[in-house]
Amino acid sequence: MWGSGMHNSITLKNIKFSYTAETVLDIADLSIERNRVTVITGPNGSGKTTLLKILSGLLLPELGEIFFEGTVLLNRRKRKILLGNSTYVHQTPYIFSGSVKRNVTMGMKGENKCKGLLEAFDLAKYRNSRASKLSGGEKQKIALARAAGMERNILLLDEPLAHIDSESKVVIEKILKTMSAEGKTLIIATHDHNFASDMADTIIYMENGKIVRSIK
Amino acid sequence: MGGVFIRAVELILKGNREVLFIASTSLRFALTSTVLATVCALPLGLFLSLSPFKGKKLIIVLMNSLMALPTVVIGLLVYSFISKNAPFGNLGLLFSPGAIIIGQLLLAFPIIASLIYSALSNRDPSLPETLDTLGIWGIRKYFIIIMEAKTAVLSALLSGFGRVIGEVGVSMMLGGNIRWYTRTITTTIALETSKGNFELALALGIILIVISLSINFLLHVGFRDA
Repeated sequence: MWGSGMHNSITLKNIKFSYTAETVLDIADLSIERNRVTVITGPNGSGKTTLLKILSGLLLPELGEIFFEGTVLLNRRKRKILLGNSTYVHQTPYIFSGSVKRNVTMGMKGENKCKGLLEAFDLAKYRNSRASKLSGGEKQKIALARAAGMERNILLLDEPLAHIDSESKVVIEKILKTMSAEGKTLIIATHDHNFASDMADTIIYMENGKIVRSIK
Repeated sequence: MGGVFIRAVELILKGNREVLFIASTSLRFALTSTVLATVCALPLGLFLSLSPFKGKKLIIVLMNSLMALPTVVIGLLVYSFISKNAPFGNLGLLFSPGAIIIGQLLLAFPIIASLIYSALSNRDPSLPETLDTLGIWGIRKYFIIIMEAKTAVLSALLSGFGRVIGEVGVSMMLGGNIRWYTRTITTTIALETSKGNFELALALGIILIVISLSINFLLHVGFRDA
């Protein structure tokens, strides 16, 4: 029950979701702990991305309840509470037209933090470069810098290390560990078992849209 | 033929008053109808690309079919509403610039709406979600979605403009080809050619070709890296 949850950030109860007729997500009970790193893993098509999108507020389930910090989110308007407190980074992040700076500051109020973010994410040298021309790893870093700039408490990442080089992996892992140390709630979907075991406070295994195991 | 061509070029270079008036009238009608069609087509294209609903495919098929509607059919349709004894006959629109603009608007609307829908549908599907997660909602979200597809959206507008600047059926049927009032490039070419006055027809034909080439230039070069 959510009431247990001074330590919980988001709780899902009896959630069902389908894109077509087939149910792709069926979660009886899931609590995401605040200020912890939760890693979701499982085979392709197991429902990891759909679960992340529901946890971020991007998708609204057909059945079930979502609780966020004690508030039950029942409709699209209330869903914005969750959207306003989290940032979701796609597996292949969307890169806006224009410069790296424009991409990083998109959604931010003011540009005060831009310089610091560009330096932290090793993007300062690309500041005025066209973002769409950069490599997959740099684009992932841009998306993470953009998400970090939003200063939301919950950060949801879909395969943040997929298709990127080892150098960028090191930078991203380091930044995620810093964010975790700063008390952010990180929810990460990944296939990378080493990364999962290295980062996670809790690991959730999914199969066919259901949680089959949860390890703390 | 060479002499006719030289005299046609002279008409343009010497700034013949009638040539300039006809060319500017055509541009004015085409620009006005394209802008009005865009104002109507942009929200529809955006709505169709972002919203799943029943009957969406039917609307898209209908719009695609209307893209190929002959100009004389649109002319006939509008004529049946604005002629003397028709429902809007008392507005006195027939054989006026307003009638031509209404007809051209109906001609450009399905083209622009359909192409905008295609442009926005081909975008990366993660764009609206990314904007949602960045807290960019409402009008600003839609504005950014359109700006992210600006090259394709501009192509849609120019395609609509290209269609109306070169049409003859609507202008002839609804404008009446009245000299110094509703006479456009295409209706003048049709009239002057039938009278054997090739100089004026050719001068206007050259202007129309220059306009068409400029549109193509903008489409393929000007906006390539926009």
